[in-house]
Amino acid sequence: MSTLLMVSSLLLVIGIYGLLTRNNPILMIISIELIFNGANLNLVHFSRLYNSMDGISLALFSIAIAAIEVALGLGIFLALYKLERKTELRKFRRLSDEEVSA
Amino acid sequence: MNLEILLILTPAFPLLSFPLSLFFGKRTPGQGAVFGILSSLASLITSTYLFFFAGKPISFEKEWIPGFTSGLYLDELSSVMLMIVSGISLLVNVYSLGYMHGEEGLPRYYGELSLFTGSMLVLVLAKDFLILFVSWELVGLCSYLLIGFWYKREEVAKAAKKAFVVTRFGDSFMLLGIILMYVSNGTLDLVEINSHAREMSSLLIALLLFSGAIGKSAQVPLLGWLWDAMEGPTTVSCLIHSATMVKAGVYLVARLFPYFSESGALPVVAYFGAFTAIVSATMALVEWDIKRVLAFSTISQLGYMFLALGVGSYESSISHLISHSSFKALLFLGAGSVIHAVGSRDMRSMGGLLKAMPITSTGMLIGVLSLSGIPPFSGYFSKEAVMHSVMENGNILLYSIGTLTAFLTAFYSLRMWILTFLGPTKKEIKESPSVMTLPIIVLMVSTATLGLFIHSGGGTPYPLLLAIAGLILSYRYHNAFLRAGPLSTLLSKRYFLDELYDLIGNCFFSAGKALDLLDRQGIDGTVNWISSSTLNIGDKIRRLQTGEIQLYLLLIVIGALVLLIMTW
Repeated sequence: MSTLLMVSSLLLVIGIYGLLTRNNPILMIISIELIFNGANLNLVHFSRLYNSMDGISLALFSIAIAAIEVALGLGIFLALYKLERKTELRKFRRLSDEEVSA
Repeated sequence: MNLEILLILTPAFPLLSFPLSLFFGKRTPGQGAVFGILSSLASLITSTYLFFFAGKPISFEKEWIPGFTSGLYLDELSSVMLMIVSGISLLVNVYSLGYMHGEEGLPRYYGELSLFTGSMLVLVLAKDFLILFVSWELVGLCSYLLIGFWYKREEVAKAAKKAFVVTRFGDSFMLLGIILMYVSNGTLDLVEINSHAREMSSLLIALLLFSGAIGKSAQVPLLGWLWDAMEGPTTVSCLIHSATMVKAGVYLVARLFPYFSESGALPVVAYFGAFTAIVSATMALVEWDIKRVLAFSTISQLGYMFLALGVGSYESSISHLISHSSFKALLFLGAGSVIHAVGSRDMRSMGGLLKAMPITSTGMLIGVLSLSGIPPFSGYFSKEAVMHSVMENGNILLYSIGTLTAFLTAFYSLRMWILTFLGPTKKEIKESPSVMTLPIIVLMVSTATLGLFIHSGGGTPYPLLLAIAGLILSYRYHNAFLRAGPLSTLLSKRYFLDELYDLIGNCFFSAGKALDLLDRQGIDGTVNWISSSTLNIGDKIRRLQTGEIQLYLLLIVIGALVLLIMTW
């Protein structure tokens, strides 16, 4: 049983690591998916553990929402690319305060 | 005729003349003099009528604010004052026709004279402290404006400012006294205060009110402004700074005489008066400015009036006030006539004017003899009355101060006359025009005859003897005090009084500066430091917001980890 929990936490950690290190938006979305899947795995696992369908149904919702979120995220990135002709996230610094402080 | 209407009309004439001469003065004969002369003549007529036909005290009252009535009140004291004020105002207005001829800004001059006359009449008639204080400040304002008539000269502007500030200093204590009076007794009505003097008496309030009188009547220690006030036109010095306004302090104490005597403030009044009398008399011994000699003598004679009030003799104080108004106005108008002819106030540039100016010199001689207290002139009778009451009071110190002052008075006043009219002729001059000599003649007659109406009491030969001695000594050695070395320095520096004022002022100024430093550096500094350090910290923290989304994420993760560890 704990193997499954370990897999799910591994997925979470890998996802966070990917989110913090990758500069490519696609890869970051994939990392987010990893985190989601880790959480879903947890839900399913505990659902089986306590013989309840709540967790599984929540996991189904979560998968659907994740799909929507990916679609939304990709849409935003496409729009950004059209606007700025770049996708590297570190180059988008318009929300920073540096102009004001300079 | 209804006396109450006359009561209102008396001050109303000059008060009405003020805007008239100010706004229409340029287009009228004499540049506004016509309003001044007519209004003061009208006031003189109504006040004479009131003096002879009022009989018993009359008052006029009206409710100002619900629950607070205010009004005018006339009794013997105020009707006498009314006649003095309007009479001298009339003479001065006529005299100004000659003295101020060709000056610039005459409508302003006559307007301010009228405003002064009107406010002084209101002051004299005031039934309660509210009206009294308002008119008290108004005459102070007029004094300031008229001293500063030639405001373009710096020393004139300074003298005007000094007069205003110094008298205002006394007035602020007086206002405090009035407020205390209202708070503790619930009334400001002068008549009511006098009739309930015993229950209401309070030494503190009486002394506070007396402080106002000290400032207005130039007593020690607030006397410095009066000789500087001589920078104004001589007519103004005559009307305001000798005959009327400076008497307001004496009038105040006289008006509240029952209150002052019940509250036990009279000995203080007596000592202040006596001290002022002798101090200012000594200052006059070495003065070269003819008007300042007269200013010192005014202060000194006001000291006599306070002395008389202080020993409890209301009547002798008022008779000295009346006779002093007459002979001091005479002296000032005479001095003005001399100054007009010679073009200088310095007695060193005068001399030998006796033949050239017969009327002025005779008038001045009568004034000098009256001031010295030589019979049969009015000053003798009133000074005798004052000294008689001092002797009856039995205080040897006060009596000897008064007697010694009589000697000094005779000495310096004859010295002034000798320096002005005797000796070698220095300039060819002519007698002043008749508009100027006529008031002098009127005052000569009144000075010579007023004594008939004064009951002197008699019986104290020493002041008269010493005054005669003073005259004789002065005739021989009129500049004796100038050669007295350190004493003469002390006197001509006027006891370093101005320096003392400066010293006190500077002390307060330094204390203020120290407090200012504490305020700006200490309190403001702390507040400013708090705000600026907050800004600095904010500026440092702001740099965390780099716009890099992954840095934010990292911080979120670290935060979550910290929370996780904490909840473990």
